Amino acid sequence: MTADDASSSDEELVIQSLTDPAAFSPIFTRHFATVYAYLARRVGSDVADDLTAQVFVVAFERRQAFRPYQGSARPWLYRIATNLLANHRRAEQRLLRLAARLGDERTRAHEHSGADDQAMADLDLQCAAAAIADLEPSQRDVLLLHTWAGLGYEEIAIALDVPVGTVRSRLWRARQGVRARIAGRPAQATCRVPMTEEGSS
Amino acid sequence: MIDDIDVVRRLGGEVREPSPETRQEAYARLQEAIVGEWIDSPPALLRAAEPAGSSGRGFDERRRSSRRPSRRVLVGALVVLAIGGLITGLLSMPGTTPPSAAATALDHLASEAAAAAPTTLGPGQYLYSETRGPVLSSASGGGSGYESFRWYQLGTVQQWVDAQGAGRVVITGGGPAQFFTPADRAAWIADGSPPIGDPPSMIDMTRTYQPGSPPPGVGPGKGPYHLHPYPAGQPIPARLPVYDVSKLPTDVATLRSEIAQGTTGIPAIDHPTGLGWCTSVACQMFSRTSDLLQGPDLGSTPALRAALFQVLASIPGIRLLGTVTDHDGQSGLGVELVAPASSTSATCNGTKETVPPTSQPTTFEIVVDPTTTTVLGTSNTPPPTVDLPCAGVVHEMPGWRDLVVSAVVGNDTATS
Repeated sequence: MTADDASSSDEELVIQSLTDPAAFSPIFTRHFATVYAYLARRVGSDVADDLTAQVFVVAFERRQAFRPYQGSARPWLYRIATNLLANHRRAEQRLLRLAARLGDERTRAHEHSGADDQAMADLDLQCAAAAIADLEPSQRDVLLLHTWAGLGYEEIAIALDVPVGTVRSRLWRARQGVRARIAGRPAQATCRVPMTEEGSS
Repeated sequence: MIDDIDVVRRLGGEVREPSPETRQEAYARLQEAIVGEWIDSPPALLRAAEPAGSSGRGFDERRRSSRRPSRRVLVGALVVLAIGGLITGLLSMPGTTPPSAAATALDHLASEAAAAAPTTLGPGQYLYSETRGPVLSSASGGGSGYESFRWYQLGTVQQWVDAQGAGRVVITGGGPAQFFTPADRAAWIADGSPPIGDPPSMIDMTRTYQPGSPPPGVGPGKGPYHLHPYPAGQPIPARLPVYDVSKLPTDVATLRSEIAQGTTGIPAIDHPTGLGWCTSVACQMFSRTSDLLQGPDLGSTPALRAALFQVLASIPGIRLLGTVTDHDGQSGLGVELVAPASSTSATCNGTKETVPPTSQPTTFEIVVDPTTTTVLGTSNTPPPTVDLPCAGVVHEMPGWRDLVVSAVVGNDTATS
């Protein structure tokens, strides 16, 4: 009768929750922190506060469509998170521009202090932020699910509902974009962030 | 060669942990959705959860039945509850702890209970309840040359009570009798093995109560015994065993304090017998509050029932079980409290003896119909030790009680 069984897999809990809704609660306990961290990186803590709560409510309400990966709900939760993020592209763009601008300021500060290595590293981050802001949303999702959420190819395929081959190609293109932005910048120059914003919030 | 993946990872950097408030808010929203589903569509869920063959009727059919039309909880008191006692410390929830699923569910039930129509009894009307559970019985020779013995069996208690507290109790035994000790069985044999099990059962009885006066006679027991089948092991009650809750406060904090301290002014709630091992405040609060919610009672209001659900919600350690089925096959929302094992004392032939702790924690459970907020059943497992002559023997009996019917009726004759 008890729903909160630590030995149960996510898949077992979700199935159990179809007849016993309370069984869903451990899914929150297990995944809240990681989903929150991912969303906070993408849209900032303020938006992530609300968005993470939405992820679990939506997951519960749509659990009939649950698609497990090796018993885990992780890719499925990131799928919901990714869908919700689509409504917050503007917030994400703002965050990336901020990251690039702060990177620019850090770079200048390190240049003044003579910390050239650190200045170059900061410039890399600045350029990466600019490149990510420039990416197609579908490429950006793949890249950040891989790097910030730590998902593997198959998990990303589930999260984005695309074939694994598509994940590989999107990731390759996304990485090409980031590399080109970093490698192509003039020495000790800044990476400009895009002036246009995509999507709407 | 640029490690672009590493650069992007570093760009993500460290993010601050979500605040406890953020986590709490998110968890509460999920619980709201979970409980909302419960409240909105319990029939399908409950049907799916019913064990095969547990009942010939579906949930919808049972809900449509006139057998349980009232939101009131009106039941016969069969299992006797906890001792009075202790206090403090646990009366407030930790501020940073997310509300549990159980607390959220109970808060919803409180809202439902508060919105219910009050039950009022007009002239000639009775609150009728029918419950099933173990009935503890005793037969005392009383110097007539017969031995005394005690036993229990599952029984059905029908009870009618009017607004003045007058009414009638009918107890019908069912199933085989269980002796508590070999000595009880030996005494029963020495007395000629009178029928005490399957009908005709010795515990069958009917008793009529007038307002404020003792019941007439000693009872219709079969044979030369003085039977004490109700309530468990106690003298025949002078009045109908109905909780008069009319003086209980509806302020949640005050009510919680009175329940925790055992100062409700209702003796059967404040100083029950049989649950001496239920020593923690949480355990006592759970058993007392469950019992008050289950009744039977007089003077209850929607506000009081709402407050009782809120008190239950405030007890640390409660857990939401989701859909559970009681012993009568009725499904409802289950909430439990696991109380640690503890030792207790029992009166054995007039002498208090220490009863060893139960071998495992005790689980209290309450099952509530999420639509009507009626308490369908309560239980505790392992079963309670019973305050009986024991000589070192721990007496146990099933610790559950299920509501079968709760209704307002126009006369005090059987309705089912």
